[in-house]
Amino acid sequence: MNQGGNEIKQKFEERKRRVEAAIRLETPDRVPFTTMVYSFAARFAGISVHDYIFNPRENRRVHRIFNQEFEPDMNYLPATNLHPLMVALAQPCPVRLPGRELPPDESWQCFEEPLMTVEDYEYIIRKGMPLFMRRFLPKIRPQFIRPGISGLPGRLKILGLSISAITTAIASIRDAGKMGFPTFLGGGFESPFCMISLARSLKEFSRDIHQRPETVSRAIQRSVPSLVRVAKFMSRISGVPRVLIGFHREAFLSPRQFRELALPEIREITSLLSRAGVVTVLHCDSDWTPHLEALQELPEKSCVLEFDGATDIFKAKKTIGKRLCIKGDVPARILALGTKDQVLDYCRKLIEEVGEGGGFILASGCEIPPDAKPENVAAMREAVEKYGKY
Amino acid sequence: MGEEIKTALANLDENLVLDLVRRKIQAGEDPEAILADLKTGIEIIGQKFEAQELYLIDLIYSGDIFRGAFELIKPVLRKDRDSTGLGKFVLGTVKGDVHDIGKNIVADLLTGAGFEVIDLGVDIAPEIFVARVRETGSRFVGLSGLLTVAYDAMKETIRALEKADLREKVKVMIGGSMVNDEVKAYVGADAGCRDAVQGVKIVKQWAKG
Repeated sequence: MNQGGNEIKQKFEERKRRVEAAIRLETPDRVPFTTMVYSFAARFAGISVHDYIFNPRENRRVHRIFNQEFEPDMNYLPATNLHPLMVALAQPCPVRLPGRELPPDESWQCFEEPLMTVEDYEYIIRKGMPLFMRRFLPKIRPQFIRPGISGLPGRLKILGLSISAITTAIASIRDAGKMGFPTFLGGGFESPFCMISLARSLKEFSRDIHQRPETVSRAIQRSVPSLVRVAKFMSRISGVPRVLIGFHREAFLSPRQFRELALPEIREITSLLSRAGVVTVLHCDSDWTPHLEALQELPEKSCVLEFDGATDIFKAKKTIGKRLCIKGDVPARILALGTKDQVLDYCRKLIEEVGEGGGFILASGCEIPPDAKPENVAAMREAVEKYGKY
Repeated sequence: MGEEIKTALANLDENLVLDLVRRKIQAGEDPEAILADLKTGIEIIGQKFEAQELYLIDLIYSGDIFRGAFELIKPVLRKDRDSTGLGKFVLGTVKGDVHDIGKNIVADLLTGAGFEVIDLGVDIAPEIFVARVRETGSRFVGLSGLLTVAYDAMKETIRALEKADLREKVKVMIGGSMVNDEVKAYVGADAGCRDAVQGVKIVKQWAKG
């Protein structure tokens, strides 16, 4: 290999070591930085969100440009935005897509309707989540899976889309590798709790939680094994030992409900994946502060907790920072409206308090907003160099 | 019986609430009094939320229970009653954003508090807010949004109210889980809230003051 090639390989290994040490709660050479980024990267590269989602080649180009410019320690595989099929599967509720129902440059958005019925819980409990989804998808994604297409033609269509999605993901991981960036995620999807709540609509789901919590719990538990199988598969074919699972609405529960309905689900997923050598990237949207104590029960070093700015990340460090790696959480608000100095100040505080002793990855809270100022995004990278050396 | 309705609502016992409301209507009780009990129930729920005895999922459910009960009472309310109570409130999620969880809770709680809520829905353009404020004469406007792009849309909406000479006549509240003083100042709102209970409290003070 030529000198340039060696240097890239060295960088690759160095970055990988840095992030993986943080996940193992060790102290790397400096605080690592890798962040969820979708539509900001598209805008920065000068293409529409529509082209970003519907043109896998453009999608890869967008991330090459982002990685080159902002030099994160790991490439953030845009799991759910990588391919139209992923967008279709990610949220089991009606969505509006950029360039179709929305202007080409808006992010896709969910519109919940109670399409899943109370009887469907029993179906999930009896037959499992994959069979339910196969029956349910045509209802919510006629643009991908026409209700008329069933049986073999329907399955072939899904198979074709799946192969295309997998090929795109692998090509994207390879792209990043060639530039010296390991990839953070081997795949990603929503937790069973979120899938059911989206399919059922939040309003109806809130009623179910109060009126038939045991049924809800059984449907969630029944869905866990198939989800774990898919996660392991994603990790194996991507070669990345980390998978993102979106836990959002679990945060809406009371601590008691959380322990009854959400914790068993999260504990089982993280334990099963951990035993298979896969780290769960627990994407925790909304305010998880009331549930931090419960998260102490998750297996040590089994996950990375991605906070979005709503959780008290400083309290999280004190409560669970000795057991689990914490990632976050420069608020979207500061990235979009704040100044570079404000970003640097916030990052410094994060590094000093949450980064103390290791086990921390600096990132934006949830995804970088599409209207973030590029200099503010660059400031996160600058901060780890400036303040993040251990 | 009043005690029972508000307790049932505060305990999130949907079936009991609806059952009590139906029985009271059948017994010919004053619908305004039934509504007042429900409102007290909603108030207790707000207090419990602040005290962290109830959480978001409970708040969503309580709003739905209230809405169901209100639908039962509506047909028997006097047609000529002063339905506006504390006043009209124009509410919507701003252009470019479709998040409606927070907005819907606010709508339910404001109705519970005695406002007549004009809920415009999601992804609402500034000119629609302006038109509806003018048409209804509402003194209060609520702009909801979760995404950062919503901040610009909120700002534009407030600017549109200024251009239409309506800004002086209305108080504008913005809401969303990421809202803080900085965002409030950026968009030029009169108040900002991060959760529905906090927002309703402020608006109630506006209405009284």
